[in-house]
Amino acid sequence: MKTERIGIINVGASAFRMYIGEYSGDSERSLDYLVKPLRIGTDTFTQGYIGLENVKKATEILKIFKLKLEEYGIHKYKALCTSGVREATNQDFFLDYTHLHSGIKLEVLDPSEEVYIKYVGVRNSVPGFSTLEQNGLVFANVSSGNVTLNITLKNKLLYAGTLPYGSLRMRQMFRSISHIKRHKAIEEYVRKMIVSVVATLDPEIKCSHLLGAGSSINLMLRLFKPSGNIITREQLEEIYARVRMMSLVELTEELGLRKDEASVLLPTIITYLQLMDIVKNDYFSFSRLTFPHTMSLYYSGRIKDTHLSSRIKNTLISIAEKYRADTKHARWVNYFARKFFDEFSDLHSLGRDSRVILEASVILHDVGKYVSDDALATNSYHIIKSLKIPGLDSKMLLMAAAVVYEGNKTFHEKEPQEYASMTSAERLTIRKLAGIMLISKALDMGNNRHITDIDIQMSDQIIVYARAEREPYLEMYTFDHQKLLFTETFGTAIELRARISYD
Amino acid sequence: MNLIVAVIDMGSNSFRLQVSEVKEGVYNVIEDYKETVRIGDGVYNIGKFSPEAIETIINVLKRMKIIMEKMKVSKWRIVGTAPFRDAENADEAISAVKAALDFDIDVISGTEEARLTYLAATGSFDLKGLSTLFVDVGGGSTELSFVTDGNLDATYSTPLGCSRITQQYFGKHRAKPDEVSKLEKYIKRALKSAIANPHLDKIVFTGGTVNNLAQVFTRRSSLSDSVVKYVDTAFFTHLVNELAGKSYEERGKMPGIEAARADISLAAALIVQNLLNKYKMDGFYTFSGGLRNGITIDLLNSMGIQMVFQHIDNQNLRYAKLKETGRKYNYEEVHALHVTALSERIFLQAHKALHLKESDWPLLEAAAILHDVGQHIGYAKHHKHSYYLINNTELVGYTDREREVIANIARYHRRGLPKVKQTNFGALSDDERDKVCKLSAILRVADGLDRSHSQLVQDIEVIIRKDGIYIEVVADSQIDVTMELAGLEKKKDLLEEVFNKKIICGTRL
Repeated sequence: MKTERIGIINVGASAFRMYIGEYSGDSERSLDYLVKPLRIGTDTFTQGYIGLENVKKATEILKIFKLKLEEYGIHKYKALCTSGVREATNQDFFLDYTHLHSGIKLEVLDPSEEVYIKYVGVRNSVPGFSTLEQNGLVFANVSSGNVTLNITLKNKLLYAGTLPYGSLRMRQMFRSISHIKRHKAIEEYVRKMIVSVVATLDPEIKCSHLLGAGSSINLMLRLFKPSGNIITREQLEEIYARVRMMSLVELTEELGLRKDEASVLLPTIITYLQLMDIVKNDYFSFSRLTFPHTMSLYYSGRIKDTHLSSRIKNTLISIAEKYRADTKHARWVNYFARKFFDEFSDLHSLGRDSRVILEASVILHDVGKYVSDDALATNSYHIIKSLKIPGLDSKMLLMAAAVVYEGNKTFHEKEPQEYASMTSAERLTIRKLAGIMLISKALDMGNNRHITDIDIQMSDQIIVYARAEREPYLEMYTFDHQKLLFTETFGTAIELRARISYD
Repeated sequence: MNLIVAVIDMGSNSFRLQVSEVKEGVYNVIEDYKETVRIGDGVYNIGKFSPEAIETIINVLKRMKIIMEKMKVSKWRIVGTAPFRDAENADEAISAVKAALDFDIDVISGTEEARLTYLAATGSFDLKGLSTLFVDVGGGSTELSFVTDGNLDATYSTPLGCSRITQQYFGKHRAKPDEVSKLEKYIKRALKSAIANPHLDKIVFTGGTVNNLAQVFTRRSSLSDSVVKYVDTAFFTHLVNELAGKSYEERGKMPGIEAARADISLAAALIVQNLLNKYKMDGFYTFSGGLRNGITIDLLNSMGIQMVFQHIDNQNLRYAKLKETGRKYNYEEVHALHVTALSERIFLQAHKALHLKESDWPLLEAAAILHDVGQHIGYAKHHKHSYYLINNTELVGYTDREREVIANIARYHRRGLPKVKQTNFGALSDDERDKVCKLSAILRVADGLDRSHSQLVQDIEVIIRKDGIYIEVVADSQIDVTMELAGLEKKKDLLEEVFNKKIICGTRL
């Protein structure tokens, strides 16, 4: 059986980490794990860029990592940066300098992809994860730069966001406040995050479980040394009462923590205590999987996201609900759109990603109405491109936004800025998908599922037979008006005929 | 489940269905469906509905009924206007609709039409202390309502429908100069008796064709297509001449003109021009969806539901509408209103030193109330989402330019400072940029002072001295405002820049 070694480098806000794993079939062997503390986030979160001194230190660490990779004979590696580099204004310089001087080519991880990888990693490592999601789960990845939250209920993702409330970031933010008062400031600041998140949720929604992950868990493990995967509120409150007014020196001496760990202790404890308030529970469970390890599993293809498609669809539906769109109509139009997409595969020659883009466009095609009817296309475009959906990268969401724009645009709406940087192939894909979306929408124009199904006959022209129990007046009328983009893009005539069932 | 209501407005040119969802004294339009029918043409020619016209009425209503059923509409009202008032066989059409669809059509008088349009306009215009004329130019008639200080003084209905007078004066060819002149005289005569108030502050037109003419103005001026539009008289005079010199076909090709209204556009324009000249107005407002919105509000009122802006304790329409917009985007009301109150305190103490006028306050007020609405889309970059939402949401009582300024002020309530290279900021005039910098500087400080969203700061005193600006934060002695002071420190940057002075912060317990 073929054995494969993979190296993962993660440049975080407070440390550089490297994981080296060996994979053979289903088995995995951890060969090495290195952590080199370097708080580039301290620079980024206070002055907005990474100082030259830290750029040089980072290069030295990467040189060591490069040697380690060579030692293991690894040529295939992935080196990814998160918020500490992502948010630095001199990101390009940092990437260029470190590459030139260490030979390691770093990439910056898109926030939505970061959330997704962390999410699927934990999903695969925590038993009964689906049941937790069904019953209401707050999944919190608390790290140095950010807190990423996914709130799921009945397998619908109700909230997904990366919030700038990481422990190191907060520590830097309040560094000038005396340690006697600092805990109060952090408490209030974290409360603001909780209030902002809760405000986006329906008050009726109840989630019962909190699952923690991220670099904060290492600190929890050092503090409490739990045998299982649970930390209780009592444990956190007890230690919080003891340490909240301690200075950094007192913290390191009292708890035996390293200085870098001690400095982020208060923000970490406060974040978990307040996250527990969302679920109104007295404990939280956690995953011991580190981010580099998760990335190693992900990039070696060991993590399978088996429910990705249905989860994305459920998430899209919950977003449509938030913007008061008719979700029954959206589901029905989606059914027709998928059927057209599959039947017309020879005509459009588009792949699976395009099918997902079409699904997102169709389900969200009306969201802009919530802002105003006047610029439906532009409003929907803005909302869709700004979404964060784990499993759908930002490029796919931008394409979905463009499909909705193309299908709904009116003469007075200006073309979105991003259109200028789209390739002609991308524009053609957008037109193809928008053409399919428009004829699919027409089939449920009355929002009444009046057309129960369709049969498609393809010859010189396409004939769509609509099965209905009575004449689908509005749908026939609309289809005729909406098919122009389809006909112009595919160069094929298309006609809708009704097949009335009198049973 | 929220209440879903629908109204259908059956006019001479088009039938419009508007479906709305009602929640907490606010209705949101969730469907706006229109079909151009031109049933008035026949009525004004032969005096009645032809059999084809009756068939059209039934077919269009049938499609609308399907939409209503599927949207689970529980209450509706169907209103017929001028063609139903004028057609001698209107009862026949009404009975045919009843038999085919079980719909009751309510034929309303011209003055009732005027009242309903006025009712809708009260939700979009602040009428306090002003003398305003509302004019609804329909296909079969034109209704006028004179309003003083928010009270409806008088209504008039005239037979000046743009379809009707087009049929009578122009026929189907390019308008000849003597035909235009004859029609102008006729309009003048018809409007002669309708002068309830010789002085006007504001004139507001409604009706699809006038709205379409206003759209030509917004397109040529690269303005957004909002519900309320302002058109200046100089432009409009030029447009009337342009329309008069063109055939129907040529008018239909003019950017912004709807082809289906090209023939009747000149007649509508002449009615508008006559009133602008009569009252010596520099410009006028248009307001789309007037009658439909009026019928919706009237229907809800008849069910015992009052709109937020109709509450007697909510005199300030603009303020009520801003809160309504905030609620629509699930804003955190206590934080938004607290930041607004703090902004007002700073504004009152600093506006003279910053060379701002008292009349600039409503801009800051709106931005303060709405600064966080972008969180409805997402927390990350929410200041940019706030900019987008404010710029694309109707703000009652503010012009397009003011809305752009408000959106910019909210845009800069956090993160980076304004830069001319940023498209949103670069597009403003020098004067607007100056206002945005100063007002967002105040908003940043006020927002910083409620950083914990706990409303701990009770008051602020701003003392302007040569050596710096002293900001004293007043709070309860038992309350720790460390967080708020840190927020102030972090967000005082722009205020220091616009004052060109250091800001020194302190507390008074």
